[in-house]
Amino acid sequence: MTNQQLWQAILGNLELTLSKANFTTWFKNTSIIEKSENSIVVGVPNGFTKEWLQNKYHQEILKALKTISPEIKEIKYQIVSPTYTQPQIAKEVVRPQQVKRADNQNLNPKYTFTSFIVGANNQLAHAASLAVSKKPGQVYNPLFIYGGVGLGKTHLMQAVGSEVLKKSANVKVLYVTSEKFTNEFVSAVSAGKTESFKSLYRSVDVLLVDDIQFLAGREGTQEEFFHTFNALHQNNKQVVMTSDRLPKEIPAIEERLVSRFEWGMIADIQAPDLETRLAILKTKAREKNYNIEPEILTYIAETIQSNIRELEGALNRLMVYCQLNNTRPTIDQVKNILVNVITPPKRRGVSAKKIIEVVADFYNVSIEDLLKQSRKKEYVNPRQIAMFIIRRELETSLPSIGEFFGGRDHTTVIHAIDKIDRQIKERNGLKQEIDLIKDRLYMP
Amino acid sequence: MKVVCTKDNLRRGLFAVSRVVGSGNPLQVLNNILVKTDQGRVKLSSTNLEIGVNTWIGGKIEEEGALTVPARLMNEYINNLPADKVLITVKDTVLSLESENYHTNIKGLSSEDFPLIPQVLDEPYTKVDSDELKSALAETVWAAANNETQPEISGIFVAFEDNKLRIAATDRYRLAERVVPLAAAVATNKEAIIPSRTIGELYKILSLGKGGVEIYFSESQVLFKFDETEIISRLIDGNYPDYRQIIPKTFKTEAEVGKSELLHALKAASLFAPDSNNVQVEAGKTELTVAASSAAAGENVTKVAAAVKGDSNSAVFNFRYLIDCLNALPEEKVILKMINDASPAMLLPAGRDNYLYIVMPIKL
Repeated sequence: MTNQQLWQAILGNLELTLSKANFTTWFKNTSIIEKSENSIVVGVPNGFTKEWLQNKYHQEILKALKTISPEIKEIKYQIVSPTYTQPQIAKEVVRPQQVKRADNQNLNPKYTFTSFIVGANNQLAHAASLAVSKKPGQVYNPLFIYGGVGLGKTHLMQAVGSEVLKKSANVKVLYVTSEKFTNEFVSAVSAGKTESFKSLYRSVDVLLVDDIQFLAGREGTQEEFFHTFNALHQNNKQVVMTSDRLPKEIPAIEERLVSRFEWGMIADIQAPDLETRLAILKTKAREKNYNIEPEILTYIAETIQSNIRELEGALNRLMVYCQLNNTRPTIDQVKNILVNVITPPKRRGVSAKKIIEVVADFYNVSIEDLLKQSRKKEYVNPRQIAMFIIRRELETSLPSIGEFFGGRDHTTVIHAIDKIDRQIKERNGLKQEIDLIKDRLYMP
Repeated sequence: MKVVCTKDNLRRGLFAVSRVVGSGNPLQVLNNILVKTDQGRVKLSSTNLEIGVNTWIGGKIEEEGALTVPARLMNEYINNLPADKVLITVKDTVLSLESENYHTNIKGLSSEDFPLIPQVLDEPYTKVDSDELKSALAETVWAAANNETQPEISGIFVAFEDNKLRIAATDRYRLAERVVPLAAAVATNKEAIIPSRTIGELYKILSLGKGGVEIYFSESQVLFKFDETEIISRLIDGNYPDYRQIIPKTFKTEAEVGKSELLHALKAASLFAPDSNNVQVEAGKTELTVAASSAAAGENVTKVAAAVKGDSNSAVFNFRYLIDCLNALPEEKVILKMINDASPAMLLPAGRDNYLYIVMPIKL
């Protein structure tokens, strides 16, 4: 066990017994700096922390240490300061040069096609991306990838960028989130530098825009994106976009943008099936040189179904646990270790009010619209969905759901829930929409 | 706890401690000051976990005890109190202040949770006169860098060498240095970097009285003891840049000039350098010419009479760097030394050799 792992284990123990404020104040920037057979030296950032740990928390630390490494009897504390490089005095004052934009620096080198695992759920998206990366601007333009949280949209999109760059380094690839696009546009407008903003975005060969659904409701940015898009498309420059839903399901986005998004190729990524999940876990375990029983991998793959990020998280947690305790886990242990990951304490913090807020935000209507008596179609559907989710997630009684929505009868609520239940089976996109809303609900 | 204090004593004590609080820290008790009876006096303490301050005030102790109360509330209340004497009593976690018509209960937190302010037990390392130290700090501290990305130069450099103390501050483009005599020669020479915030608190406390300031060092900490107050602070770890090598030995031009005349000229020119801060300073035969111009505002030229020795010379400076220094010097005459438009220039107070100020010209 390394010093860092040992200290993490001790901190994990202490965190449970101390208040959050106390824990963060006194254990921030601490570490084990020296370890011998029966003593350790704890590095602390200042004299106050040293005094406090020595006089107040010494017993607790010792106790936590004993459960992990009983042979250590002695703890010392020493002040260590972070080290920096020595600054030089300038020989003269030179005005700072404007920093040039370094191209393509924001692609994550980990995201490549070789590290992407193809299954039935993402076959189409993968094939389309691969084709685009081979002939950017010529086959599917624009390429629109959509799917839920943590399924690999960003991975695929960045893989396109990396692949294009690998072939010829002087192609200009630009990866932005739509958030960043908006922010840069807004600051360009306020600084009166829209021209340089325009020329930057219109001079790229491949434009990758992540999470395009966040353009919803931002009209000025949408217009600018529309022109950028046209300029690039006309010159046969590749545009790739990702979103968590279909173009026409993004609320408050202009019709002309929707039709453009639908121009080229729309590929979806679904949640991976069991075989794909297993393949992902095996690859990740191999990447990390971690030897693990196939049954355990199967167990993880069976229990974590929707999100690849969670899948990886579970594997990491297991690895750390095993290294810390130097054991090979049995299935029973695994169940224990992963109990938090598999059944996260979701219900906590979610209220009917929160659900209504999220639903209203998702469909871009106001909360009052959902609660008042209007029978307009654009309010009725979200309202019924909100009722449905509240019933399913919180198991609130039918009359109190009705009460919540402006004193409606409980039969209205029954009707809403039945209707959504039916529609889920009939209409394909609805289940995905509801899953997305739930994802957002439980997002930290 | 039951104590009677004069209001002035309390106010003095609170003045010393009330600013060093951990605002923004999740630990509530850091916003509080500790009020405690300590060997016949009342001890007030505060800390933000970088700096700790202890101060002792006189009072009549009738019953021992301790409690922490919010610093700001206590300070503002005492400052507004018209009475002369205050009776302080503590019951559980409530601190009561009684004086004539004013009756106040302040909610506090247990003194058990208040951080332990580290103690420095060694003998004092050295001692320095408070007036000397105060004037030295006034002439240097503002030159330190005020960003934390380069922690070393955000602090104040102190070097104890035999019987003198060298204090320096720089932000890479300018440098101020002052030498102060020590009351007693040190046994071993020592260098350290002290956070600006600590120096700021020290400066404030030095205005409370006169006398010697005792300085103590321990494991990466420094303690200043003055009057009835102690400030303890961490030191900044790292190497201070070797600034002595950039101080030029010889200059081509030396101009002695009236400080307030130069200050006025710079302030006038500054109005015409709103964006760039660039002001041209030219040394002729008998005067300094200060000039600035901007496309938007217009231009300005001011001549200031000066006694110039050596060649004619000219350089462009950030006017703020010159004004900062001139504002800090008490002398009526200053000397500006230059080499050329790309080498460091120096400002000195006339007739004093314990201070120097280096400023880098701006290269256009």
